[in-house]
Amino acid sequence: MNGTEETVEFTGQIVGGGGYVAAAWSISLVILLAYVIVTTVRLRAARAGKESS
Amino acid sequence: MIRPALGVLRKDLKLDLASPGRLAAVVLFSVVTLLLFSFAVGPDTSSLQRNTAGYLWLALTLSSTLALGESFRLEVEDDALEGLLLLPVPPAAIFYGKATANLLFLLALAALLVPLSFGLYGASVRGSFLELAVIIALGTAGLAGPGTLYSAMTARARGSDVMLPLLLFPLVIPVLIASVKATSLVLLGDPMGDRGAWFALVGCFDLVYWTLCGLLFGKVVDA
Amino acid sequence: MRDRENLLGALGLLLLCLGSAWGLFYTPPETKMASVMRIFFIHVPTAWNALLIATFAFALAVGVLFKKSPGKWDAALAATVEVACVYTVMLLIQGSIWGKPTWGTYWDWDPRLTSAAVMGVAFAGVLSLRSFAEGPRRKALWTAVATIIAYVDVPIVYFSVQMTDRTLHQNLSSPTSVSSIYHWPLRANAFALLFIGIWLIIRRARTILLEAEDDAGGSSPAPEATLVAGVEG
Repeated sequence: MNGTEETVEFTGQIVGGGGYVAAAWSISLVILLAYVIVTTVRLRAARAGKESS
Repeated sequence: MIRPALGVLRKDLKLDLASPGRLAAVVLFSVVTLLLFSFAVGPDTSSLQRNTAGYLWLALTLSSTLALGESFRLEVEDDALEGLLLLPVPPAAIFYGKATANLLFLLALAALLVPLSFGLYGASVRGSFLELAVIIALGTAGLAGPGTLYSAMTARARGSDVMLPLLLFPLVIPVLIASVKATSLVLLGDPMGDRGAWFALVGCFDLVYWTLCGLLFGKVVDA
Repeated sequence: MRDRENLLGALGLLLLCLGSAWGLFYTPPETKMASVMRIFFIHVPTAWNALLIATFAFALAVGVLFKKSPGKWDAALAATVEVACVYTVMLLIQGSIWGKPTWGTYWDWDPRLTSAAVMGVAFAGVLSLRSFAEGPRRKALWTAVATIIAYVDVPIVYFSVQMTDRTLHQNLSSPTSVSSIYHWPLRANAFALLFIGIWLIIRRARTILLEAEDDAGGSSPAPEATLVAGVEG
């Protein structure tokens, strides 16, 4: 991993950090999931609207 | 191409001068913005002096949306744009005419704001006045080019007052960064000789966007 | 109605589960950053895909300008810009969370962070302009023009911030700069997000087409009809 040496110099060895990983991962997946749900709902609604007209 | 562009330019300048109220409103707005910065930051003279370039460009950017928004409002109100498009001239000529008119307007505004900001913030020019004029011309061109194209769209969309700044501000971030840096270096002195790169950056932005917007303008008014 | 793209979505989901499980639980921690570097397995694929999808949007936008009746292209473009926005938001949030333990700050005005933020805001602006434009032809052409203008700005922003010479950000990750142990989870997630992205784009494009038909009165608009609507609008 390039370029991390400088970073480590001032923060030192990072211990743990599992919370950050969990947060990053879950927030990403929640956003993606929310978008998938909105997408699906809108597609369903558009199709229903077309069938009824 | 050049003659019709000049024709549009002359028409727009005439319209500008014919409505001094509109001019005065934009000028007043920019002056008030300059005043607001000094109140927001407080009476710390040295920080005001150091940030003069930033405040100057923010005031110019904020008031540019007013000026740019106006430039197509008149065309849209009486369907004057339809008439312009019926003329046997390339749409790019109309774009360059209008963009140049907007550029001249912003330059005039800058000519007023620069001495005013010097007075308000206690700044002075350590570099050359010519360089200051050049960077202001380049920077305002960066605002006027894409701004004219966007206002051709937003003037004919609903919610046009919000749309223009919403589209223009993120786009002109490089112009703002580079113009502020270059202006700062001209005002405060440039011991390392860095300003050339910033001039070049704004110049490149202008070149890219004045070309691109000229090409795309036909599609915008076609719709 | 069975949509074939659902297969792609399912494949993406499977890969995402696989790559995530692999990255989160079956890779050794990195020597200096310990567990925190596992954010990489989602962050780097998101970054690759956000840029890829934005580039695809640019290509579609150029296509729309040359089409006589850009209906389908326009729907694809609008869908792509939207998905690019969603990925950029994900990217910025992951990046901020990554920044706190490693750089000691959530946000820094670094070239990559700034240009990603500008891209997100600019693309959101395009969608906003689209929603305010009236008539299908105007919507299509204005979306395309605004997308092109916004996309061209991204490298300029990157370059202009880079000139201010301050960066905390790691070098761009690529197979050569990342230990080979980490390749496969990265690849799995990269393709997962790509497939999911394409799936989302297709579904959004379908919706936009259906809604446009709805607006045009239930029948698919002929080119002439679009033109008339454009003039009236």
